[in-house]
Amino acid sequence: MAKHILIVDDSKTVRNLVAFIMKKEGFKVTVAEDGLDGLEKLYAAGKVDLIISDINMPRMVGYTFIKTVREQEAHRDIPIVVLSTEGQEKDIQAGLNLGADMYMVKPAQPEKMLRNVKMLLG
Amino acid sequence: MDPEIYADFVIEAREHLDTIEPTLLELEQTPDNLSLLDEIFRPMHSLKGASGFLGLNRMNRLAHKGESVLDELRKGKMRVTSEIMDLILKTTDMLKEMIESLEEHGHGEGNIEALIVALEDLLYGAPVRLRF
Repeated sequence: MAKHILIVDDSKTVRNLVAFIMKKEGFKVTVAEDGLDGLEKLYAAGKVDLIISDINMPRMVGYTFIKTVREQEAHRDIPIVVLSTEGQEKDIQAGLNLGADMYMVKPAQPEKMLRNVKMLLG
Repeated sequence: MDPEIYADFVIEAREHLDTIEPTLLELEQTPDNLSLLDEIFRPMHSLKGASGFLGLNRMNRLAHKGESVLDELRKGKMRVTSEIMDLILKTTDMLKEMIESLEEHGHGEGNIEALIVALEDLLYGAPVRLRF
């Protein structure tokens, strides 16, 4: 069965492009427009295999979203990739400390994104 | 790449640009309201991000300069003047033109050099040389 990826970003352009890249690889994709929507879509799906999340989003920022996901037994081990414009050391550390497995700074190269996703999916 | 991605980008970009002008007008009335600057910074930042993601480098470059100036303004490092607001407005207008060019011709063309120079002048503390 195809692996299911959840993409959380408030930019439709980013959601579209990342979804396009992932779908082309054969992954199933669900998109969400902020952290709150991300949680709703995650619960609706029951389970996903990987999450790609932005940080700066309205209603619920990426940090809160990741923290909330990690607090749940069922989702503790889902690989999470942060995809954010904030690329300073403190931002990367914050993301990783909250439980992200990887931090990518925008704009990220599609090939690199794909390689990282495939690596995390094992 | 799926052409629909560009079509959606055009819509998103216009949404961002459409919020900037009315907020600039509001700022003219209340130039000390720094939170309005946040409301101009955010769409410019999002536009920079989205255009960069799609490899629309000229648009990204111009939006980036605009964002840098707005960042200085919202942090209180630069004072809001009518010349600066006019420059931000011109930047927004140019970005709108580039979006239209993208929609009509498939590439976001625009003569951005004069604007880039003027924005850089601001960032490096020189008086604004508006040569239009």
